[in-house]
Amino acid sequence: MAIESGNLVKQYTRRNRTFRAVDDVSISIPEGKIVVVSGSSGSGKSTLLNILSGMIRPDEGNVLIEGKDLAGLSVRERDMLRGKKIGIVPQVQSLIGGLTVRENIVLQGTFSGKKSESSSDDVRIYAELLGIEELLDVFPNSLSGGEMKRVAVARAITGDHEYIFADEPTGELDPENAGKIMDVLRSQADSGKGVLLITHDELVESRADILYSMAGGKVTPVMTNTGDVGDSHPPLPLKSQNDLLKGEHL
Amino acid sequence: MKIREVAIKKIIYGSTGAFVVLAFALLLSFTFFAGRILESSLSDGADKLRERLGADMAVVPKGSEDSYQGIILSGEPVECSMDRSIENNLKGMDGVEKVTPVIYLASLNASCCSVPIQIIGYDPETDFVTSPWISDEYTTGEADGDMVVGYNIALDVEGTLTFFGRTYTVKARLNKTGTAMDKSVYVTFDVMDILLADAREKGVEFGEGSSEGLSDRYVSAFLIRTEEGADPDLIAGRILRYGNVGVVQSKNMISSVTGGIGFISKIIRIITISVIAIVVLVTAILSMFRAQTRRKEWAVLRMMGASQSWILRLILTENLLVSFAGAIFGILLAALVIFPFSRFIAEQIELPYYGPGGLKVVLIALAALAVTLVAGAIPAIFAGTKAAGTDCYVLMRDGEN
Repeated sequence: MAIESGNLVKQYTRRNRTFRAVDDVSISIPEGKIVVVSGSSGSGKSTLLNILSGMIRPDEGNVLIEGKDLAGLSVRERDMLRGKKIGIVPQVQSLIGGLTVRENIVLQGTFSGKKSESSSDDVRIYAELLGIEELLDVFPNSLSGGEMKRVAVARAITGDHEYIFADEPTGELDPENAGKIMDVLRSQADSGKGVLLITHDELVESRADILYSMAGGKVTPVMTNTGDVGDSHPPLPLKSQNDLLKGEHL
Repeated sequence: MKIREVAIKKIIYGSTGAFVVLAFALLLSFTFFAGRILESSLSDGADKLRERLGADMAVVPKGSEDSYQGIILSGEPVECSMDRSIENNLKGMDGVEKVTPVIYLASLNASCCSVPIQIIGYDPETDFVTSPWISDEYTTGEADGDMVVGYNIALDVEGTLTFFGRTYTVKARLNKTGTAMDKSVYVTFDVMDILLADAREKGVEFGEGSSEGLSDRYVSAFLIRTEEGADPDLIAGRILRYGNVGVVQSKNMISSVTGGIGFISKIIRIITISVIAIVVLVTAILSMFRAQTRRKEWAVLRMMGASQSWILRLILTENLLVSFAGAIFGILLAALVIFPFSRFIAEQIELPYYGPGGLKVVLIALAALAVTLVAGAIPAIFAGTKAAGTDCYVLMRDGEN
């Protein structure tokens, strides 16, 4: 099973000028793989993540989550489907004030339908893996940006979703903690979950099973180590990938 | 986590400005509860006065009409006397069903008397006003005489009262009326004769001649009950022809009391409605502001899979919990102000005041709670609907901005 999308288009109008933030994009998030979409700011990466997660509707094209077309679902059905299937780490600070770190993480279980007992075990395990076990009973306003990001990752994966979407998951993190996050995300993929990462961090790109480049709303496959994407584009060495991401597309 | 848990955490730790909503909820419930209790007490006081008066009119010495009203409405101690000779004329008058004489004697604020109050003498053979109100028999008198006391009269430690140097045993206490009658002492004419004789020795003027059997010759007023269907104005007109007497009709006294109560009730209602309107308006503005400043939070919750109805219910639950707490505090505060000072309030407004019973207090408290909750819920529904109905991605962009 996978999340499949085809011919996605999303237009915005800014200062009387219409532009395509997402332009004829077809992308797949298979289970058990880390899919990375890399690109510069304003390339349309976050819009693509929001479309794939059902947070916004595309103007054209469709998204199928395990065979269900998001276009045919009501807002409530999309919300429920997202809550059950997709754990999301947004780019911006996203913790709820007034709730402790532990409660922020456990709250995800309310929407993913997990029982609180099992969530409680998961909270402890993932908090240790992400180095936030000491922070579980503090409030978000006393956390640094990097700590908040790690809590957001813990929240997304504790919900035991089938897919994890993360927008700049290593942003504001030092290499050591960025590595911890990527290790956790890798273990999620290895356990059969589909992982979509939006980034411009080379570390994240280097951990991709499938790497796409995005610029001007268009997505270009860069490499795959699975053979599922673009058979004519075999995996490339990391240096070659980076060269491509700096301006050249396959 | 349950919505209620999240709402409580947000209220306590979330810096959501909930305390402002709580303060306004407190103000609303305080005003509503205190206002309704006052209004109810005044209304019931008027009803009790109407019942307690028992007579349709009082015949008093000419010029003592205001003093009589003072005795009835505010318990102002006064004494007045008139010749008893017109009693038979009154009894024989067309339209008059019953006539009973009464004597008013003010006790002195001096060492000779326990308390400065109005002592009312009644004739047990013809009385139809005082006797029906006796609620508790205490003892049969063994002292100088028996007394019946109003509901609010405090007795000496021995259960007695002293007037003009003589001690009396209290035989019974009257039911509470919420009127000035609760502050009076009632005695039969034989006891009143003793009191009058003692009072005259202390310089009190009442009647003329010997102090022996004064009540046979002088009284302060005649209370009259008219026959059903009789015209009280016509009877009052006939009585006034005797000269040297005045007539106070109960209906006029009641109407002046109810007029005063109506005026106060109107002010209470205007204040209550104004406060409700202000609180609803302010709560609406606050709720919209709070929902607006938390747009990023809604976006995150939607992103996590919270439905629009979940967010609406969260906002509603927060407002209801805060309004509930505010309502409870407001009701308790109002109760602390109203109940201990009810007698003081009654004295200040100089109107009959009969505090409501337990069940009525509970019903008024529930009504105050309901009004406060509705006033908190309606703005929350609007704010919540607006917050929950906004597109998730737009909220995220707002949050970033």
